[in-house]
Amino acid sequence: MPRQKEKKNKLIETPPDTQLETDDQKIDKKTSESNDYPLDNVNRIILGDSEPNQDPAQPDQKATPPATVEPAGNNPQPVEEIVADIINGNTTSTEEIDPEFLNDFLVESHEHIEAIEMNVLALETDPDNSELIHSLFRSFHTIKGLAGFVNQDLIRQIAHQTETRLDKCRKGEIKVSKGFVDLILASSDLLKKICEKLELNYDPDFLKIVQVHLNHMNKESDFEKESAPSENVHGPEYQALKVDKLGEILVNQGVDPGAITDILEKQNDYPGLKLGQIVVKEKKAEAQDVIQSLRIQEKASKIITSDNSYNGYTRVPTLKIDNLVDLIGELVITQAQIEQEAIKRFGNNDSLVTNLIRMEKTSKDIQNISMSLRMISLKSTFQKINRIGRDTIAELHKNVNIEISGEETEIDRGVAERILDPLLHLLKNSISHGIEEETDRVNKGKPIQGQVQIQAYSKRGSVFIEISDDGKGMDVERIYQKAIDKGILDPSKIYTEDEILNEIFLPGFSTVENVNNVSGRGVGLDVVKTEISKLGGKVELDNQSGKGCRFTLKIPINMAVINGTIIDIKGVRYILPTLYIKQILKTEPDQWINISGNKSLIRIKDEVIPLISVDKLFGLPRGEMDDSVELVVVVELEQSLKALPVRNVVDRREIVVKALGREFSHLDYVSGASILGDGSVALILDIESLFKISA
Amino acid sequence: MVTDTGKYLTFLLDDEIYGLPIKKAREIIGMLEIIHLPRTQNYIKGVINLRGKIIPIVDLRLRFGMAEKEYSERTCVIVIEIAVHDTQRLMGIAVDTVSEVINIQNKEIEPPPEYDTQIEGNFLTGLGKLKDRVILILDIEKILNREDLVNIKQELKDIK
Repeated sequence: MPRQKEKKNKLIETPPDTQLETDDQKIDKKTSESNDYPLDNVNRIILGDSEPNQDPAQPDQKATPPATVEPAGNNPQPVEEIVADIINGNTTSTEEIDPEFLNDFLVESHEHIEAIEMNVLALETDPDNSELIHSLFRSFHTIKGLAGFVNQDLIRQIAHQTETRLDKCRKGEIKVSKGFVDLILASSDLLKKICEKLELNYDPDFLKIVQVHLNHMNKESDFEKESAPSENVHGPEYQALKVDKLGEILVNQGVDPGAITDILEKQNDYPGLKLGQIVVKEKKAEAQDVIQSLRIQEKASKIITSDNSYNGYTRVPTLKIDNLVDLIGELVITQAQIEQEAIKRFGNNDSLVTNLIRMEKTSKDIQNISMSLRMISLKSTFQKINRIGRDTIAELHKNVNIEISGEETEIDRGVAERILDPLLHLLKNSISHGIEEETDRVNKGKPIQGQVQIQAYSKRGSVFIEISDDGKGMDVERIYQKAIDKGILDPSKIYTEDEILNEIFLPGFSTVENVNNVSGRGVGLDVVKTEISKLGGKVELDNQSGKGCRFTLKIPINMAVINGTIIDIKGVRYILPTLYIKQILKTEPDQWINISGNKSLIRIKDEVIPLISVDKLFGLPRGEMDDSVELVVVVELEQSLKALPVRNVVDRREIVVKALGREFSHLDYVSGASILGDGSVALILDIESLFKISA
Repeated sequence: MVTDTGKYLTFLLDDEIYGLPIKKAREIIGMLEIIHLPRTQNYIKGVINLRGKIIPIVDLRLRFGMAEKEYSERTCVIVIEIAVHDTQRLMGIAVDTVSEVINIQNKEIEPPPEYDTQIEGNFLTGLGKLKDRVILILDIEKILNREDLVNIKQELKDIK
C-alpha cells in the first residue's frame, strides 16, 4: 500500500508525467484487488483521486482534483431526485420511521448478512457457482430495498453498489477473484457494523471508511469496464435479468421502443445516471410514467426476492418462547397435582382420571414441542467461526483448509451462543499452533496445505463437536517439562500421557514461547474447559504427536434439561447434576475421620475422601454436624473425589434448569434452580464450587 | 411527567403508608413458599415459583431496617418489573399489606426530606401530601437496584 500511495501523490504533484503514471495506475488497480484498503486509502480520497468515471484518454483532467467527493449517482435535480428515490426504493424519505419497522429491518438485515457471509465463504472455495452469486445478489438487493423503506440511506448505498458489482459478476463481466470476495465481505462487514450501531450513520470517521469502500468499488468497476471487451456493456444486461428491465416495462407502458434503444445507447454519456433518470432528462417519457414503471419493476423484483428460504418461517422473540416454556412447565406440574388428587379421591378407573391421564400425555407432548422451539442449527455458529478462522489464516499467512460438516445438528439456542468462544479458541489454536509452516510440513512429508476439520453430530442426548487438525500435535515432553517447571507435576512420580496432557487445561498453562495476538496467552484451554463444564459438557483431547490432535466437546443438546438427583440437606431440597455423581452410600460411624473435632474425611474402602462442609458452602457459622446424616454423595470432578453429606436422596429425574438471574450470578454455589414436581423451587448446586470449598 | 396526576399503589409497613407508581407493579399475590438463598443479604428472603418463573423476594421491612415480622394471611407480595442489565426482570417485594390504588396530583407531591425516620431518604422520590395522610412515594428501582445486591460479594469475602 505505501508504494501505491506515494505514486498517487506524485501523480498529483507532477501533472506532466501523467501519461506514464496512467499505465502505472492500471497496474496499481490490478494489485489493489488483493490488498487491504480501508483506512490506508483515506489519503487518496482526500487528494481527490476518486473521481468515479475517469477517462484514461483525457489525462489532463486528472491533475485537477474535484472540489468535493460525491457518491456516484447523486445529481440533484427535482424530477430526477424523485425517480432516483424510487429506483433506490427510497419512497418514504419524509415520513417518520416506526421504531418497530426499524427493528424488523435490523433483524431481517442481520439474517441476510449472515446468509451473505456464508455464501461469500462458499464462493471462495467454489468461485464458479453461479447460484451463490445469485443468492448474494438477492440478499444485497433485499437489504437495499428494505433500507429504502426505513430511510437507512447509507446502508442502501452500500447495498446498492455491492449489488451492482454482483450483477456484473453474474453476467460474467467480472470474474470471482479473492479481491472480489474481499470487497463483498467488506461490504457486508460495513452493513453489519451499521446495523449493530445506527449512530455510525453520523460518525464522520466511519463515513469516511464507507466512502473509501464505495469509491474503491467504483474504481474496481471502472477497471473492469476498461479491460472488458469494448462492446456495449449494457446490452447483455438487457437480456440477463430475471426482473424485467425498466426499458421493457416502459415500452409495455407505451413508450416508443426506438427511444428506449436510443437511450440505452446514450447511457454511457450519462455516467452515474439511471436509465429512468436519462429517459426523463431526454424527455422521452413523463416522470410519472417512469415512476409507474419503476413500481411495476419493484413489485416484480419483490416476487423474485421473496422466493427465498425465509418462506414458511415465523420469527418469534426468544423471550416469548421462554415464557411459553415456563408456562407449559407449570401446566404440566399443576396437571400432575390434579391427577394425583383425582386418583386419591376417585380411584384409577374413574373416567375423570382416565381423561386426565390422556390430557397429561397431550400436555407432555406440548411441553416437548415447546422445548424444541428453542433449538437452532449450528449453521450460524459454524459460519461465524469459519469466518474468523479464515481471517486468522490470512493474518498468520498460513496455508490451511477449514472443512466443516454437520452444521445441521440442532442445539439449544443458549448453548449455541455460549460454545462460540470455546470453539473459536480451539480453532485458532489449531491454526496457529497445530498446523506447521509449509516448509516444515513438506519436510515431514505431509501435504503442503494443513487441514482443520470441524465436525458436529448428535448422539444419545448430547451434541459432539470435534475440532481436529493434521498438524504437529501436542508435545507431551514439553508439556511435562513445563508442568515440572511450574511445580504442577511432581518430578519424582511417573505420569501417564493422559495425565500430563490434562495439565494443559489448567489456568495459565501455555507452552508457546512467542505469544501472538491470535491465541496463546496462557488463558485459553482452561477457559474452554470451564465454559463447557458450565454447560454441563466435557472436553476430551485425543493427541497423536506429530500427526495432529483432536478436541471433542460433548455438550448436552438442551442446556435447559439435565438429569438431576434431588437431595435433602438439613431439610431443604437441592439438586445435583447426576452426571457428576459417582456413588451414593450409607455410612458407618467408623468411616468418619475427624480433624480437630470435626468430621472432615471419610474412608471408603481404601480411599480417603474429603468431606464438603455444607456450612461453609452456605456461609453458615460452623455448627454441629447434622446428626441425621447417614448418606454421602460422592461427586467426581476432574478425577478428584469429594463427599457431600446429605440427609436423604429424594429422587432422580430430568429437570428443567432455570437461571436465577444475573443479580445472583456471584452466588457460586448455585448454578441455577428448577421447579420440582410439587411446584416448589430447588436450587441446583454448582459442582465446581463444591470442589473449591475446603473441608 | 406530562400528566399532572399519577396512579399509585399504596401499602403498609406498620402504620406507615408507602406508594409506588402503579405502572411498576405487575401483580399482587399472597405469600408463596419461599426457598431460602444462602449467602445473600438478610432482606432477600429467597426465591418463589411464580407460575413457572423463579423470582426473588425482597422483604421491604428488612430492606428498610425495620423489625422482622412473621408473614401472615395479610402479607402480600407485589411483583415488580424492573430493568436489570438491559433486561426486564421480575422481583417480588413482601409488604405487610396492600391497601389501595389512589390518584395523587403532582402538585400534591413534595420533595423528600433530607433525613428520614426509618429509611434512607434517597429511596423516596417524594411525599404525597393528601388531606388526611402522607404517602411516602418510593423509588422502587433504587430499592431493588443491583448495587445493594452487589454488597453481598463483600460479605462473601468476609466469610472466606
